[in-house]
Amino acid sequence: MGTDLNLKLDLKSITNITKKNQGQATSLELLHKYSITGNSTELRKQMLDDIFVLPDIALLGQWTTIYAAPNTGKTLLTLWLLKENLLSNNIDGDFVFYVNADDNFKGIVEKTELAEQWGFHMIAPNHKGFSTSQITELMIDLAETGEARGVIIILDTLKKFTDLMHKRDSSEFGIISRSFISAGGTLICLAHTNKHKNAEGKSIYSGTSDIRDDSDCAFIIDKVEGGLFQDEAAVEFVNDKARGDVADKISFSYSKKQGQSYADLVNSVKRLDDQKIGKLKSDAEFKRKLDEDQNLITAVGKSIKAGITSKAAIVKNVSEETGIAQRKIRESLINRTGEMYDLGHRWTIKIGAHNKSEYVMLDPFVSAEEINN
Amino acid sequence: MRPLSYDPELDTEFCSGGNSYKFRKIDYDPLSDECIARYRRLKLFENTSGLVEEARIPSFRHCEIFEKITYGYDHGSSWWLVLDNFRIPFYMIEPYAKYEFNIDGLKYHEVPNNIAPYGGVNRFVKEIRKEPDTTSYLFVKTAHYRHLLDVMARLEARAKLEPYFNSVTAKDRRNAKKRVRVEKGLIVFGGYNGD
Repeated sequence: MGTDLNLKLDLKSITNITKKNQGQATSLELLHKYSITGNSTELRKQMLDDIFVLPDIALLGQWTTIYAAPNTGKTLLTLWLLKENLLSNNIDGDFVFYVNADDNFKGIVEKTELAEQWGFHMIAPNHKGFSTSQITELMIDLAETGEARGVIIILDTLKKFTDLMHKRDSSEFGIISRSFISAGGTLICLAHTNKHKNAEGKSIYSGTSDIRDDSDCAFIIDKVEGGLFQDEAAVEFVNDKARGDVADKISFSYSKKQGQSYADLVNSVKRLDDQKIGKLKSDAEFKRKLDEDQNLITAVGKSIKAGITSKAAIVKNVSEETGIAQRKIRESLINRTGEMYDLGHRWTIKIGAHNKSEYVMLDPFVSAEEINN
Repeated sequence: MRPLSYDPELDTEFCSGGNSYKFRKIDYDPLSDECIARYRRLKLFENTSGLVEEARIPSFRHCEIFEKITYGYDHGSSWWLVLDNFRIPFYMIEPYAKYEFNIDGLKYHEVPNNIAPYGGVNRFVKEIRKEPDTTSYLFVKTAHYRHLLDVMARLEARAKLEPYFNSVTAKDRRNAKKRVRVEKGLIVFGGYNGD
C-alpha cells in the first residue's frame, strides 16, 4: 500500500518535471493562475448595477426565465415591460436583441415596427441570414471576446433554441448561458408551462428542471380568471426563483379585441395593483366555487320545490339524487344560507308552522324579506 | 464597409486626446466673419441639441457609425447624447454637397442650415450666399433613431428663431474679440486650417 502511494507520488513528480521541462504549467500552477482572488477591485468596476431590464422582473446581468402557457401574453408583457424601460431611458436599446423565433410573418413585421419605434434590435430566423442555431455560438463568442458586457438577449421562445425535454441539451444550454452571464451579459428566456397544473391549480414549467435550476430568476405567468370586462385578461407573474431584488408577484391586464393591431394590444397593457388583483382573484374563486356547487344547488332547489324543506330531509334527498357526500351537502347548506344572492347565498331559512325551520330558495330579484313575508 | 481608423487589436478606446471641433474649424482664424458665424452656430447646435462633443479617438461606438458611411464623409465629428444611465453616439458629417443615404443599421437627418455648425461656402463662387454649400447630416444607429428625432425636433424649433447661417453682428465681433483675449495662449492662430 505504502509502496503504491510512493510510486504514485514519484510518477506525479515525474509528470510535473516533464511539464516544467516542456515549459508547461502544472495543474496546481494552473489553478493558481485561474484564481481571481486579488482582482475584486477590477471585477467590482465591471460589475453591473442593479438595473432592471424588465421592471421588477429581470435584472441586468442575470438569466431570467419566464414561463407561461401559450396565449397567456408572455411576449406581449415582455415587450411592454421592455418598452417601459426603453422609453424611460433606463437601458440602451442598441444592446437589446429580441430574438423572435415564435411568430408568423405578420407578427414579425408588427413587432419589428415596435422595435423601430422604441429603439431595440429585433432578430428573426431566416431574415438577414440568421438561424436559431447560431445563438449559442454567438453567446459563446460574446463571452470569450469580452463583448458580452451590457448585451441583453431575449429568446422567444426558448424551445426554439434548445430541447427543453432533453436533459443533456438543456444542461449544455445552461453552461453556455452561464458563461455569457458571467461575462456580463443578460439573458431573458420565454418558455412554456405544462398543460397540466399542480394541485393548487398553478402552472408548472415545461421540460426538465435544468433551465429553471440554472436560471438566476424564474417567473411563472398565470391567467387570473373572471372579474374584468369581456375582452380583458388579467395575468399574474409569480416568482418561482429569485437572485436579487425582484418582485414576488406582479399583475397586469390587457385588452384583446378582434381586428386590433399588435401596437394597440401593447398599448392596452396596464399594471394591476394588489387590491385589484386581490379582488379579481376572490371573484374568480367565488365563481369557481359556485360552478363547483352548481349540481348541488340545483338538487337542493328541486328538493325544496318538491316540498322537502327540512335540513335532514334535504341532505338525505340530495345525497340520494346526486351521490354527493352528506357532509359536503351539509357544509354547502350552511355556507349558502343567507339573504345576499350576490354573495353566493342561494337559500334562506324561514320559520314555519310549529316553529319548524324550513329552507326557501332565494330569488335574485326578490329580497329575502319579501320571501319571509 | 470603410476601414477603421484604428486597429482593434492594438488600440485602446480613447487612447488619443484628439482635437475639438472649435480647435479644428474655428480657432485657426477666430476673428474672421466666417469663423465668428461658425462659432455662433456651433454653440447654438451644442446648446440646442444637448449633444456633447467627443474629441478623443478612437471612439469605438462612433466608429461603428462612421465605418458604415461610404461617401460624403467630410468634416466628421463625434457627439454624445448623455442620458442618466448611458450615452448615445451621434456622428455628424458636413460635406460640400447634398446626399441621400440608405445605410443598413443607420438613420440620419439633415441639420437646419442656419444652425448647422460648419456652414462652409465655396470660395470660388463669389456671389453672396443665403444658404451654405455644405450640408450637415447627423447619424445614429437605427436603435437610437427615437433620440435623433428628439434632437432634431429641438434643432428645428430653434432654427426657426435664428438668423441666416452667415449672420455676424457687431456684437458677435466684439464677443469674438473678448473670447480670443480670454483664451489667449490656448488658440493657435492659423495653426490648423480645418480638416
